[in-house]
Amino acid sequence: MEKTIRETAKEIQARVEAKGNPYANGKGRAIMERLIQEKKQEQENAIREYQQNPEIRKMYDRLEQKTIVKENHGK
Amino acid sequence: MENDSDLWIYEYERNPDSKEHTFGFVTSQKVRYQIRFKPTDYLFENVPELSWQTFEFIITPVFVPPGVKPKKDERVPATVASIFYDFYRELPDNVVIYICDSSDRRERARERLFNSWYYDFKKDEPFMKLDVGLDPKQPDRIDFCVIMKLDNPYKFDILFSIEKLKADIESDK
Repeated sequence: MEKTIRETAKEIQARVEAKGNPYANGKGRAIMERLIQEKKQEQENAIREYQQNPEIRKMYDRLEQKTIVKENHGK
Repeated sequence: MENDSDLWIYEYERNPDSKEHTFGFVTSQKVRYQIRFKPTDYLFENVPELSWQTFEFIITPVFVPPGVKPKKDERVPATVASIFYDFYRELPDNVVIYICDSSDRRERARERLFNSWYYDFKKDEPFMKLDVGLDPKQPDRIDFCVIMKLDNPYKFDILFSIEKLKADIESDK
């Protein structure tokens, strides 16, 4: 007999719970704080990479030209 | 990534010799944006199958011309949506999370902006978004959302994991 969504969900819930709780004892907040920190770091790195890597700046120069062409084309 | 039928979408490209899943585009105000889907292998630790399929969406203005204040630009959400499509076309079982940073108390504005991107992106496509507010009454609340395809094989695993995460954080006070 085909399982209902509720039965499937219960099975998965049991499976997830059997694996323990990776977020217990403050680990959940630590994971979220790590995500937030890494996001900030990633944004700083993106700006630094843009400033230091001429290939990336060339890509943006090319894209800027395409934006200008599209704008003119749309006029 | 030419798209002749949608001239109002900014052209975008993958970053050269950079990390994978990283794109760039330039607006008509000449603001240069980077979009990155950063691999995040530790959020769903109890579902190992998700470790290489979970990504954090990060948008960064890498260059804003001096004196320019980026204004509302409908092409930006449309472009972000198109990048999302490309990303999911390549890897349909991916899970994307977006964190609304609250350090400057502008998380609500970020949430609204992301929602506008999402609804541009979603249209009639089979995607789902979970909005998660961790500790909503606390000053250090954390808001994030999770986006995945409706037929993601780990959809329930993700839902239960988030429930656990929420319960743990809220009982931690």
